Amino acid sequence: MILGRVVGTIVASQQHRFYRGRKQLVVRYVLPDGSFDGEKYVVAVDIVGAGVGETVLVEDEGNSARQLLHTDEYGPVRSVVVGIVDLITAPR
Amino acid sequence: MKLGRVIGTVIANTKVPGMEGLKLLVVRPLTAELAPDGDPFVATDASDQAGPGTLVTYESSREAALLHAPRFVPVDKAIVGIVDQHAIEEGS
Amino acid sequence: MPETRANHPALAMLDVLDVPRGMQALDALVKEAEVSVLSAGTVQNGHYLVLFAGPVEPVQRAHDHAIDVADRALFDAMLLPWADERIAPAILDGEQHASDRGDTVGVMQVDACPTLVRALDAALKGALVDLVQVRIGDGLHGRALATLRGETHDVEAALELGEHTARTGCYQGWSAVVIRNADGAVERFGGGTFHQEWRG
Repeated sequence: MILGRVVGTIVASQQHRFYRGRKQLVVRYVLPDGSFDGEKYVVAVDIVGAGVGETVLVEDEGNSARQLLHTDEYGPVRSVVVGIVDLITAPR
Repeated sequence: MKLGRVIGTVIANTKVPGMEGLKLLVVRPLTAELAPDGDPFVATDASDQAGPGTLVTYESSREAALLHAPRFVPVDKAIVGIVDQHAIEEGS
Repeated sequence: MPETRANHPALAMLDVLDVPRGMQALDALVKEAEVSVLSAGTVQNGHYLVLFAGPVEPVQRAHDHAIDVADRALFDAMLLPWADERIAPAILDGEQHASDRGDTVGVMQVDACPTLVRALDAALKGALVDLVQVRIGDGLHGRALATLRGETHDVEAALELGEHTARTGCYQGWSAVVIRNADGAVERFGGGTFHQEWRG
């Protein structure tokens, strides 16, 4: 899974039917110390109610994403926010 | 998913079966802050409405092909949606 | 930084078989949601057309409701949530716009106006072509046609995309040609009327 910080939200009124009504967050990857990891980011479907500014865990793999969203093998989704992080302890 | 900007179109008269009647769009990948970020690529459009100038979300690899399901379209990049609003909070 | 589209990205059109039912559908759709009616009225074959625009959600609601109300009097309808910006102005003026892009002219026509508009949207977005003219039901016995211009491969691709889309609508009467190295006569007269006359 990826550590990231929610930096924004996406509103898209015209999109593939699978994504209609699904909250999408812009999540920039962070290093364990909290700083951004370059420009790396992902737009992920939110299923935990995360908000802008929060540090989150993102599952960025299709099969897991499909299971998490309870969709069949045709679900065109890969990235899902699976947790909100309270604390990171990592050696420097 | 990631963010991108449609910057052009591609015409390919010779294509493999499964790609008939599909728009082929040139997309420039963007960072979370909408700055250009890497080389442009060609994507199909699963949002149905994208065109040059549009700000879009896109998927890659297997999920790109899945966006066109049940139709089998052998692509590795596809546009998911058109971004109406993309709100990034500075300093978050 | 917020990225917002201009106020009216969505475009919708109804083609109703008779005038009373058309007016009824118009009334129903404006009462259903706040949309901008760009034009409404009769065309030569006695159908009633309504062209309206606005943000996606109200246009969708108005479109869906009008289809319900028109019921079997509906001939054709279309909704483009993110319409190419060239289309609405060109429909409203119906004129030929000069273009010097490439040397190939593409023309497409179909018997249903909303279907032609959808086909045109796909064509304009999938290839680098200029929109020279759109005529929606004006003295064409209910038909609609659009003329494009560009390099040959772009025009061919545009018409292929248009046809692919038209097949999902009212495909009746579909006709499309690619005119390579178009002569000046085609540029001059194009798809305009034979006589200078009132737009029916």
